[in-house]
Amino acid sequence: MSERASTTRALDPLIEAYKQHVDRTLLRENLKLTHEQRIAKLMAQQEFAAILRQAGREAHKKA
Amino acid sequence: MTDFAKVLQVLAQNQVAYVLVGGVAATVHGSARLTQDIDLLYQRSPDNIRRLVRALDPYRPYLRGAPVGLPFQWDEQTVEQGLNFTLTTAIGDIDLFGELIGGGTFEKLVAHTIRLHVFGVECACLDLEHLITVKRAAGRPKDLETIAELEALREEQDKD
Repeated sequence: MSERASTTRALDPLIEAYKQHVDRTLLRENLKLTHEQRIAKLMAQQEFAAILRQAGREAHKKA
Repeated sequence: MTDFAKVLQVLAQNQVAYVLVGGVAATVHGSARLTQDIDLLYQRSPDNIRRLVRALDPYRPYLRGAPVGLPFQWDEQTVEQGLNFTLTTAIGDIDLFGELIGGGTFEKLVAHTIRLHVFGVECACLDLEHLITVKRAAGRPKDLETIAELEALREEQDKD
């Protein structure tokens, strides 16, 4: 562990608690991408989320 | 949805001075969290405000969440008299910050940026270290997960 990381952990146990639940596999996959690919992926996720929201609204109407 | 690429291109075409901050900046650093809007820390000089107003004007900026019909004029005077604006536009949701809580102004943070070359343009993005600092300074409970993820990213990068 680096000195910087060690200091941060000592200062903020609350963040450390949250950090245990971070899915690092997702982060590692993102770090393989270029900056542009990361933003493009975010836009694709936004689009997917919008489609799901629309589908959810329609399902509620039918129910 | 926000067309992040278009926003960056429009700002570059109009030579607006700003720093990319917030969720999209976190994405640039590898965050896996979904964000809906784009946060920009803009330079508060009269010339830059003029460029900013001109850049976004074709996309009809309006105060996000405000009732329809509320008198809102997107012009230099409005930006000069205000500071932070949460806008909805034809190209998506844009949050403009003249100053960040605990993080300061464009002039203070521009030295702590990385240069991005994306979608055919160049822009400044707040570096990971200062993105964490700014999030911590904001002190909002909703940012705890984000800070944890950003620190995890820093650790992952430190391994390399």
